Amino acid sequence: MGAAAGTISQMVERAVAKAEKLNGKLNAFITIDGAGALARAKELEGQEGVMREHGALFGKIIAVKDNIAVKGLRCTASSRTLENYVAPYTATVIERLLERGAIVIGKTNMDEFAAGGGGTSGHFGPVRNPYCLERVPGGSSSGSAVAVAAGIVDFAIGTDTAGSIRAPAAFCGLCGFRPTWGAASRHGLLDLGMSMDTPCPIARGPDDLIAAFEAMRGRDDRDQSSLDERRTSVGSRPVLGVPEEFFQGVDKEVEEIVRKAIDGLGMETKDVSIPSSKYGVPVYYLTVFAEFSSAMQKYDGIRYGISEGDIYKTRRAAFGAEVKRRVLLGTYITLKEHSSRWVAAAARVRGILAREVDAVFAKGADFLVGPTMPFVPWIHGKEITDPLQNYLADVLTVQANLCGIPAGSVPAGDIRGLPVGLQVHGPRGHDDAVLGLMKLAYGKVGSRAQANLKLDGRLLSAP
Amino acid sequence: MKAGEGRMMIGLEIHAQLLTASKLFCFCPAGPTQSPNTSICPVCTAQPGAKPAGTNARAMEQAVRIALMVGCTVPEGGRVAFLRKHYFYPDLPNNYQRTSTPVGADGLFCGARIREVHLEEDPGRYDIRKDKVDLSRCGTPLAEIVTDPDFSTPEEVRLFLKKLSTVLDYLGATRMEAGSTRIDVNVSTDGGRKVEVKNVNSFHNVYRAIKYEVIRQKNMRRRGLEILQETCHFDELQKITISSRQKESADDYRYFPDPDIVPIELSPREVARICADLPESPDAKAQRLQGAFSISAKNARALSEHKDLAALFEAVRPRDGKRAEACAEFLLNDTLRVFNYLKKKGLLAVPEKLEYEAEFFSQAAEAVASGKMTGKLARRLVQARFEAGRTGPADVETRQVEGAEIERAVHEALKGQKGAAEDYCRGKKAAIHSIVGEVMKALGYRADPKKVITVLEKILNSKQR
Ligand SMILES: [Zn+2]
Repeated sequence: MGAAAGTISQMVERAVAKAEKLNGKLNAFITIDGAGALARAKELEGQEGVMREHGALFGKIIAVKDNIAVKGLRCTASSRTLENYVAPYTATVIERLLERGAIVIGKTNMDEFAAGGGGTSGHFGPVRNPYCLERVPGGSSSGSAVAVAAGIVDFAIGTDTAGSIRAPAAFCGLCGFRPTWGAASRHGLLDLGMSMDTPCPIARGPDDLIAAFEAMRGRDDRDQSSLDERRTSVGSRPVLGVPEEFFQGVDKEVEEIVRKAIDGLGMETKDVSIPSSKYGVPVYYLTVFAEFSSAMQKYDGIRYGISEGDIYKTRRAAFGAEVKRRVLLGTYITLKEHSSRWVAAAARVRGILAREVDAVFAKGADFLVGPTMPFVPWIHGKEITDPLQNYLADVLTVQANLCGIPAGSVPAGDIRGLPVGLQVHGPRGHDDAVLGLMKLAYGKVGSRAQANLKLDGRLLSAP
Repeated sequence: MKAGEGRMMIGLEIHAQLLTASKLFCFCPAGPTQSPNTSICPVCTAQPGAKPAGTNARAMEQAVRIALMVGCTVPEGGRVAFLRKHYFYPDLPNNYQRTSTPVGADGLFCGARIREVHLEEDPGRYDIRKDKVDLSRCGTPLAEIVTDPDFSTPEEVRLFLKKLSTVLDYLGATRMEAGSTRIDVNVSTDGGRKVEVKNVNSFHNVYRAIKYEVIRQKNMRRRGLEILQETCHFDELQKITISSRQKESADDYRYFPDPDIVPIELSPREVARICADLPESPDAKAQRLQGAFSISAKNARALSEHKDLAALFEAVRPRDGKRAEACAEFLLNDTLRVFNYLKKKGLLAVPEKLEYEAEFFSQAAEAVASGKMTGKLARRLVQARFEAGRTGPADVETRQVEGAEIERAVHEALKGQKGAAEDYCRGKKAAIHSIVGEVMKALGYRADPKKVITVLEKILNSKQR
C-alpha cells in the first residue's frame, strides 16, 4: 500500500473500498468503519507536521480483532450474545497504536470468543483462506490474518491464547508474533484463558510487526500483570534448539519444508527434548475450560445481548456449540468435588512443563524452532466431521501459552500453494530476540516463500 | 442451663467497608455518592475485557491493621491471593466476587476466636422493588472478620461488637456511614442445624436479630419442631427474621484463583512497620488514663470507648485528680451528647490539632463543675466549636475575642436584655446565663465564657451600687 501512496484519506478510502468489495468472499470483517476511519484520516492530515516526527505508525491502516475493545465500535467476539454490544472504552494496546498515528478501519471476524482454531465457529459465519477459498484461514484471529494477506490493511491486531495468532499467520503466509505474557497490556481484551491471553500483531513482514509491538508493549496501570521487562541476554552466535516432540505427528511434507527452512537460517542447531510437551494439549484445555467458564459467567442474558426468559434458555440460545462445550466442561471441573483433581492437577503439570522448557533454554539453546501447524489449512467443514481437528491444531503452539514465553510464526514455504509456517520460541522476556530471529528468518526464507503464494483467482475478478 | 435446653452457638461474619480513596481494583472514588451509577468505570461494571488494575495497597494495609488489632497473625510467607467466588446476582456484574485468602488468622478478641480476616469487593446495590442496580458501591473494599461460633448469648455478641466498633474507630480503617458495615449471623443449638441471618445492617440490629432467633428456635424445640438449615434476613421494621431459602447442601461457589490478579507478598518488614504504627488498644488506654490522671476506673473506661473524647482529655492534661475528674465528667456528659447529636446529623468536625481546644475544655469543665456555667450553655459552646460549616474551629483557635471587644459586646447585649439584668440585680443570679448566651452568640462563640461572665458581673455589680 505504501507504494500506491496519495494522501492518507485516499489510502483509507481505497482500503475501505477493498475491504467492502472482498468481504462477500472472505468474510474477514464484522464491522467496517468507513466513516470513522476517514474522519480519523482527515484529523491526522491536520496534524501531519507533528505526527511525521512522533508517530511511528503515522498513516498505517490497521484492523482489530473483534474481541478487543475500540470505543464506539461494536465488540461482538463473534457471539450472538454481544451482537449489539458497543465498547464504551478502548483497549490499552489499541490506544497506544492510535497515539502513534494508526487508523482502524474495522473489526475482524474470528472464532466465537476466540474458542477455536479454524475461523469457522463465529456467529457471523466462517472466514475464508485467501489462497484457497474452500479452506480455513486458521484461527481464532482469522479475519485479522485474512485482512493482511488480502492486502487490505498494513497490519492487524489479534490475540493468542493457544496459537490464535500463529496458526492464521502460518495458514495465510504471514508473520505473527505472540509476546511474553504480560509484555503487552490485556486491558480491553475479552477473556478466553486469562493466564494465557495476549494481544498480538500480525503483518506481512517483520518491520511492521516490530513497529506495532514496540507501540503496544510495556506496563499499563490498568492491567496489573503487565510488565516493562526487556531482556537481552542472547549471545552473538545463538543456538537453535530443535525439540523432537515438535515433529511428532507432523505431516511429512510440512516437516520437510520446515527442516529445510531451519537449515536455510545457517545457524548452529541442537537436538533437545521437552518430554512433558505431550501433556500440553490436555493441560491447556483443562486450564482454558476453568478460566473461560468463570469469565463467561457474566453473560447471563441480563446485562448483554439476548434474553430468552431464564438464564438456562438464554445461554442455550446465545452461544455456539464450542463455547457451550467449554463453559459446561469448565463449570464441571471447577465444582468443589472435581477442582482438586482437574484444575489443581493441570496447574501442577503446567509448572513441570514450564520448568522443562526453562531447562532447555538454560542448557545452551537460545531459541526453540519447529513447525507452527502440523498440517496445511484444511477444507471447511472437516472440523465438523472430526472435532479433534481443532484440538490437534493446537499441539505445537500451546507450549508458549502455558509457559508464558514469546513465540512467532514466519512463512517457510508452501505445499501446492498452501502456506507452511516456521515457528520460533524464545525465553520469557526475550521478545526482542524472537523478533530479531523472525526478521532474519524472513530475510533468508520467509520473503521468498511469501512471494510464491498466489491469491485465489476468484478474489481478483470483480464481485 | 435447664435440662433439655441446648446451648446456643453463635458465630459472626462482619463485613466492614474500608476507608480508602479509591475502590479495590479500579481508580473510581470509593464512598457514598449523590446519585446512582456515578462512580463507575469499565472495570467495576465488568465491561467485557476490562481488567483489574491491581489490588489497592491502602485497602490491603487497612485489612492487615484490623487483623492485627483482633489478635490475628499474618499467614506464613505473607502471601495473599484472590479467589473468584461464583454466584449469580444482579448487583454482581461479573457474577463472581473477588475475595482474598486470609490476611490474618487465628486471632482472639474479647473472648471469641477470630477464624480469619480477609479482603473482598463489595457488590453493587440491587433494589428488588424497582428492579434497578446501582454499581457505585461495586468494588468498594471490604474487610471480612469471621469468628468461630463462640458466643452463647445475644449479650455476649453485643459486648463483642461494642468493643470491636471501638477498635475499628481507633484504627480509623473503616467507613462510618449507615449501612457501611453488614453482618451475617449464624445461630444454632446443640445438635441443631445452623440458621444464617444474612446482611444485618447494624451492630444494634444484630442483637435484635439474635434475640428473635433465640426465642424462635426455643419455641420450635418446645413444640417439638425440627430446625432446618436455612438462610434468612432480618426485617428491620418488624424486628423479625424471615426465611429466604432453605439450604439442603452447602453452596458450591466454584472457588478458583483469579488469573488476572497477581498475589501480594507481605514482607515481614512491611508487617512489622504496620504493627509499629498500630494505635494503643482501648483497654491499654483506659489503664493508662486511670493511672496517669488518677480518675475513676469507670470514667477511664468510658473515655477509652470514645477515641475523640480520650484525645481531648489528653490534650487538656488536667493538673490534678479533681480537675481531671471534672474534665472527664464534662466530656462524658455534655460533650458526648453534642458529639452524638452532630454525628447523627453527619456534622461532627473534630480538628486534627486539639491543643487549641485544651484551654476551652479545661475552663468549661471547671465552670460547669463550679456552677458558674450551665450545662446547656456549655453544650452550645461545644456545638459551636465542632459543628462542621458553622464557626470553623480554625476561627476559634486564631481569633479569640478578648478584653475591650468583650466589654463592647456586653454593653450591646445589655441593651436588649434589660429584664434579665434587672432580675440579676434583684438577686436572681441565674438570670446572668441568658445574657452570657446573647454575648456569646454576638461574638460568634469566640470568647471565653468565663471572661464574659467576669466582665458581665463587674458591670452589673457596678450598676447595682
Ligand atoms: Zn471503577
